[in-house]
Amino acid sequence: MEDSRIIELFFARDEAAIEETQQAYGTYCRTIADRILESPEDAEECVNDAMLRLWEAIPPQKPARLRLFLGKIVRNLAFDRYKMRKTAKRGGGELNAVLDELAECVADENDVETVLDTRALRRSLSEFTAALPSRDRRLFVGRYFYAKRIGELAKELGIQESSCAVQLCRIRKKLRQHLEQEGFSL
Amino acid sequence: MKREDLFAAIGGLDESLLEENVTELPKRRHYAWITAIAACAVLGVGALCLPKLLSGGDTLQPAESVDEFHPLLEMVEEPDISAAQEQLAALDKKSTKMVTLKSVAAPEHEVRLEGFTITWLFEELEKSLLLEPFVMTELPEEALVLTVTGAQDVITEIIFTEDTLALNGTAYHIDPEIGNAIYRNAVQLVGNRKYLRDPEAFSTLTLEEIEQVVVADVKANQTFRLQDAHIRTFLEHLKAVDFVGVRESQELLVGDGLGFDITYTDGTTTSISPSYTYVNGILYDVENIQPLVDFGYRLLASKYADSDFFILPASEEWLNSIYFGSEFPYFVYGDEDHCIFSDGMSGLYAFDFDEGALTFVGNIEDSLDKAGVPHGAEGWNGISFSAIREDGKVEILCTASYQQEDGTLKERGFYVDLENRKLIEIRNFEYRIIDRIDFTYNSPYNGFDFLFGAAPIPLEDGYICFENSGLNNEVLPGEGSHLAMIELRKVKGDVVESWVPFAELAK
Repeated sequence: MEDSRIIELFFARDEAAIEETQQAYGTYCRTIADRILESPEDAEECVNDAMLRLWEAIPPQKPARLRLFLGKIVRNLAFDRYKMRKTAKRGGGELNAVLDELAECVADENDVETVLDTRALRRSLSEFTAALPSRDRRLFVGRYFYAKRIGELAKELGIQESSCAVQLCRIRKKLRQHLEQEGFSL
Repeated sequence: MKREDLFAAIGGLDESLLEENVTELPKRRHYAWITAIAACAVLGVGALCLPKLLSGGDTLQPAESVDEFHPLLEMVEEPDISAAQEQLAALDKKSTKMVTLKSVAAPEHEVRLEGFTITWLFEELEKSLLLEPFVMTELPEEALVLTVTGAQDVITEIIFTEDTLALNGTAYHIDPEIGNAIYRNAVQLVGNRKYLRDPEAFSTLTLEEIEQVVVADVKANQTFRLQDAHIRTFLEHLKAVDFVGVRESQELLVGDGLGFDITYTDGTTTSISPSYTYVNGILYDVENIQPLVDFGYRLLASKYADSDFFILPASEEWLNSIYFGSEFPYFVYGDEDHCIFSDGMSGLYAFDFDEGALTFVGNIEDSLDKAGVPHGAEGWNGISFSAIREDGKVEILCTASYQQEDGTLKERGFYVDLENRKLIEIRNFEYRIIDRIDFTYNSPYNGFDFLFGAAPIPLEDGYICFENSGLNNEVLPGEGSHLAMIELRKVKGDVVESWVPFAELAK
């Protein structure tokens, strides 16, 4: 079913909207959640939560790209769940690797006095990402938005894993420079 | 800012930036590029075609990625052979971050090379004589691809066969006599079965089929050729290994630890890393390999003992940290995990490589003091032996000899209790030198009078220890040093037992 038709169902408060969304984007959502949580059960629950969020968000919102709109909800919910789980026990898996890599772009994890302007940071990150060459952008978004495995990314781009890791390292250096130039306290 | 904050903020990226990532991405066709650009070069219109190739076509990358392919552009210009030759010679393990090797035929079996393997391959590649350049229109199925990630993440790609070598996209014919040897050995690292002996064939392998066996200590980057007697023992241990099957997961790090290289009389070779049960690039599930591993490490220990000075697989920082007075530390025993050494006087220490911890084991001089034995430069001298029992446990014995009032020498022996890190004096023991081989002492520490202990060379019929005693030429001109075969005895009344484990002596 077309996105526009699904959104119409949401606006009509027709529960078939959830079913159609699951059918169209269920696998996509579970993939995102599972990369972060590395647990099929948790990922499934996360996707169910995302459907509820979607039901609450539309209307009033009318996303231009339902898939991406939903993908961001799933990612944020999965990350929240990851953080909750991490408070219970030290986490592992791919997301920890992703977070460890991102730690190269920031300095002190415990710098609690740093006040973040989240909106400015998001804007700056979007500018940075938009300015990246196409392939670097695919790498950056694939790794740090979708938390894809390096091997998976390398395969998608038809490059070696080692090359992929090296390029990601370069991008992180660029990001750190960019954030410093933008005046973010790292 | 926390890393989690950054990850959360990335979640707010504009949706327009996410779009391209969720679609199927075109595969990079690296070698299609070579073919395409090479074709242009042949036509003499490479420079004209290139921008168009770079900007369009479903198998090509967007223009912004052109930097990555810059080396390929050299194909349309006159290649500088001498510069390429220098580039090969400049490959240096120290300046690399990662080296991987794979075959075009089986790229999924890419292996990461380490240590000795890298050194060997770089040295071999340096020998390659680049002859005339040519246009490589297709990538040979049998080619190997070596990727070297160096400082500043600079990547060098070398593709080679028996008679061709492409350096960062520029292909050359090479001297096949040299290239053949490099290729045939390198191909085993990635499990190409063309030159592979199946491990099952080890069970029927005979001494006559073996030209030589080399044992490599990868960490220390040292190799030693085995003597015939050791090859025989090695073969027995190898035959005892039961290769159950190929391990499902083929992820491995090559060359971290111990390795054996067998060269057969027919010119073929096999690389075995028993530490990882890795044979010619393939991991196996095995049984009963521990004796082979132990044998390898015992061999290495004995080889180091044969040297005129020891190469410790650790930085000199810690060695300097235990430098006391005018004496030098001397080596008593070492293996992959730890090292036992003297401080050059009478203190004995254990250094654990994993923990980086230095543990004081005991002080012979203190023990002699307690026993009322006179000590000092003329009063006593020390020596150490070490042995590895058949069950793999290490035993170390230190002795101190001193002159009694009547002028005769008296020996005192101390067993090193490694588990409890302490010295236990043993009594009623004696040793005698039953054979000795003099050799020219050539230590960088010449000018000092010191003794250092021995690592064992195991024989089939029991333990045997080599004493390696270095004496200052100035003190004893012409004396040099010697290797000595030592026989240990425990004396109980009239009964003399030879080859008694040290622990038994200490009881």
